[in-house]
Amino acid sequence: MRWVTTTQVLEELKTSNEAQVWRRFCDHFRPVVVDFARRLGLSATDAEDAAQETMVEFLKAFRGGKYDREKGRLSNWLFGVARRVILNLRSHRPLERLVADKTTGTSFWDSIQDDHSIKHSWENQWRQMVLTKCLEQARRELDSKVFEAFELYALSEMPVDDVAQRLKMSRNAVYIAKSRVLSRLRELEHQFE
Amino acid sequence: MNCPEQEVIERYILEQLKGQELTEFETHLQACPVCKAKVAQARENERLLTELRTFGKGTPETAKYNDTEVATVDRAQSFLGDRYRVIRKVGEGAAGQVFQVIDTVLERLVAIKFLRQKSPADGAGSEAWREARLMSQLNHPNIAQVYEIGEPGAQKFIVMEWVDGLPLTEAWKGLQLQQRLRIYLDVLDAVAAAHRRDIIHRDIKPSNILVTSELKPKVLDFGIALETRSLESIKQGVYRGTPAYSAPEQITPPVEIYPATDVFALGILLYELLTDALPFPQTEPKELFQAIRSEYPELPSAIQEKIPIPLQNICLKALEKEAQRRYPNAQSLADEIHRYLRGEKIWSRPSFLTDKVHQEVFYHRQKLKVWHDNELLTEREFDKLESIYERVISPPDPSIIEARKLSLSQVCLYLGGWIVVLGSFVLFYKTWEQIPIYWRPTPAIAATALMVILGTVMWRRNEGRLAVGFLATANLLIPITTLLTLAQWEILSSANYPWGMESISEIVAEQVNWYLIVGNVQLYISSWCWLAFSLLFLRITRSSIFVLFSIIAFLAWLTTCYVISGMIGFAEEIPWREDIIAGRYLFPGIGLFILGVILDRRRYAHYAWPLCMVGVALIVICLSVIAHSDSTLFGWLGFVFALDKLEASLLSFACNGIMYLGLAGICRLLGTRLQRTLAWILNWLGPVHILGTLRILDLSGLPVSESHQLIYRILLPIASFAFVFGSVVRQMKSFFFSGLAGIATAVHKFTVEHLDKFFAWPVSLIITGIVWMFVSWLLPRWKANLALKRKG
Repeated sequence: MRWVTTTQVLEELKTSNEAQVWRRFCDHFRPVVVDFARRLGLSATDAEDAAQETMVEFLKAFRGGKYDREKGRLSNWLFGVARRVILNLRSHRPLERLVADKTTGTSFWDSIQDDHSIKHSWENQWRQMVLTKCLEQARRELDSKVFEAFELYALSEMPVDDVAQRLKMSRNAVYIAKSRVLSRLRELEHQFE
Repeated sequence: MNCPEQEVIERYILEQLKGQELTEFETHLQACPVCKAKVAQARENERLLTELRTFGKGTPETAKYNDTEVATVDRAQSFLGDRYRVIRKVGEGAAGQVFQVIDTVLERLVAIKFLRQKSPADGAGSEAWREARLMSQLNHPNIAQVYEIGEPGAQKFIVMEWVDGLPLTEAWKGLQLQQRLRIYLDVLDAVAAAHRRDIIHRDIKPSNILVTSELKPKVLDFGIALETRSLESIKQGVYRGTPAYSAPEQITPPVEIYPATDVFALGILLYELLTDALPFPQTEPKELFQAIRSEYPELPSAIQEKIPIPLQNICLKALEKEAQRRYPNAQSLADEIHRYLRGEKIWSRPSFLTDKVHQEVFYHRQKLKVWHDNELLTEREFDKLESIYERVISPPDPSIIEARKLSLSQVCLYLGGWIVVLGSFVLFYKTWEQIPIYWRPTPAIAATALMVILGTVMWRRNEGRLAVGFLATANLLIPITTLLTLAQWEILSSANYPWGMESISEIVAEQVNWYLIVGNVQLYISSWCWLAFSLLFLRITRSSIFVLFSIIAFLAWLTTCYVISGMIGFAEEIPWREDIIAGRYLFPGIGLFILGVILDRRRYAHYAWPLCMVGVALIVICLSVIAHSDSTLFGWLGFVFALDKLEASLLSFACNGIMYLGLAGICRLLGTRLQRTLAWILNWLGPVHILGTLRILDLSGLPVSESHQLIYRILLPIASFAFVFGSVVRQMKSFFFSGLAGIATAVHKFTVEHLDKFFAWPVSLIITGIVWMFVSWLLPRWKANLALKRKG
């Protein structure tokens, strides 16, 4: 998947009517809505439906000129639409179809009722989506050895000496790799939003 | 200026620089804007990294960054070799990942669990061993079996029984309560088996209990289970478990784990079983933990109407905040549910339910007080409500309530006891000379011993209902047996008439068909034994029946004391004098009353009630007997006013009435609820005695002079009016109604005796009545005007 920023996606969506543009937009934002819906206790199928409906509603509003980028982050706007759609769907589903086991991944969230918790959940999902995309892009852009050093040392928390030995590089190089990847991630993150 | 390497900056950020290295770098940092910028950048990077790690921990996506973990099917397969073929990943938790696998050798499905490793040096392997060892110890049909442990290199795994089922809460959807309970009891059985082996599961939750299509549950995941060995609890520094199913002691440092910790999680499952909801539905961990530590869950019956209350109580008992207040282990919880299913009484009274009730009652009582102060409630209504609330917050022992209830089993128990008592008593009816002397009292002795032993054992086994039955029977048997033994074995029989007194028993034997004569001293000893055992049983059971027995035993003992000392008697030396006998019991009656008052003031109302009631009853009976006798307490009235004996006696009753009113006043001053109730009773007795006596004194045919009768005839309406108006002062309905009755009899008397020919008499009565009614209408207005004028 190629790297596209939110601005790019929205620009394309505004000007082009191609199916590919629509798919790109969906690829970009749909997963986060699906995950969010799952966390709010919807089943997998319902979560897909909710995401689809959210996308459609957003598109309508966006093309109708209701969304102004200057006035607020896309994340917030999309949250408003997704929340309404999901809660609406939840209230029309029989209890049995909602995810019931409160101890699994969907656990806690299916009884969330207060706005603060829902918002918090969404922010987490969104942030996770952004960081995952940035990580994917950084992996593509950077030298594989540098990225591997970063993965092993920074993410897997392998001792620095082991990483250096394994990748046959100096300790300092491992630290530099970490610094480079993280700095790039921050840039990408800025671009994406 | 040579800038240090990136490594130094990184280590500086992570606070790993020490000593001289740190000082040197900090000095450099002050002078070098480049390094300053690098440090700032590194700090930003670190923040981002923390975030990445946080998201990474819980998601499978980032697991792939971890070289040492098994995250994918392919990777799992690479560890397992040829024998096992991985089908799919079925779960992932804090402890590791679980895969569904085919064992190609034995051709069966198995579950393989790989333990998550934090670092290569981490001892997850030993955890795998431990979990497998614990599970293999538990050969139980409701616990998933462990087949073997694999160890390909550093990654150890457990091969377990594959359970094809749904998580517990999913599985019991649509099932009846009975079916759910059956599954739940199987779960309890499994956990109880673990507890018997000194193993605490620590992570009981629906997803760790799979229910098969035959509705058989299997408990899984002993990954964080603990062995207690012989220790009662284990102190652990770290929290492990699932937040929503954690017990307070599991999340409050210092973390302590007991078998009761599992009971809490089982309590949550029972709550879900009953209501389909979690007792602590909070979503934020902080709020959730706070709730688990200190909040009461909503009552299950408030969520689902038809929940059996005993089950609710069992559930709430399992959810007690303090581990010591819960069922000690899964077996006790299971026993209690089995008891419920057998239709037996459930004793569980969850303290947080009673705490909640106490809190509510406290607020209600505050309100009651305000309502009473504002005259929204009368004193009597206030007392009634207060007494209800008092019973709610400090109910008697449930076994005592059961013992009081006349259920079929209880009636049979008491009936049996009574027959035993009668059987023992019949032993007095003959001298039984054909039986060897030492065997004669044996049936009674054996029965008494049996009753005492059974009663004590039952009490220790918390079977209070039965214990009270056996001990009460024993209590009645004790004086009979003691007396029988002393009489048959002729112990202290020579002391029958120490002061020349005739035996009570001989006199009684003349009246009834009774052959075994007992001595007064023997009576004294047996009544003393009775009193001692009554007090002992009272101390053990605290049941009010033994207060009553104690009082009766005391009076029996007192009687024997009087007889032995010659203070009352039946022989010629001391003739039968009712007034003297009554006099002997008047002061003990007052004593009992005072003792009751003292206990009442010390908040032993439970004991005070019978004491005060018997005390007042004795006082009233003795005073009445004395008034009825020749030498009345108010005999001086006869001398002063030159009255006839009967007149003086009747006047004594009226004087008694005045004394009762005085006693009522004293009770009222004492001010407790018990005293107010006594005052209420005495306030009825007083006017009835006074007005009744005045009415009787006016009867024709009595040896009362006409002038006196006239006085009584006039006194009756005056006293009646006094009572009617006196009722206003303290809202005493007894005064009011006795007054009205008094007026009615006075009107009747006047009509019959003097005014039966005057038509004006009834007319004047009607007019007077109407006038009074108008007065009552206008009185408030006059009062209000008068008050205004005064103020003006």
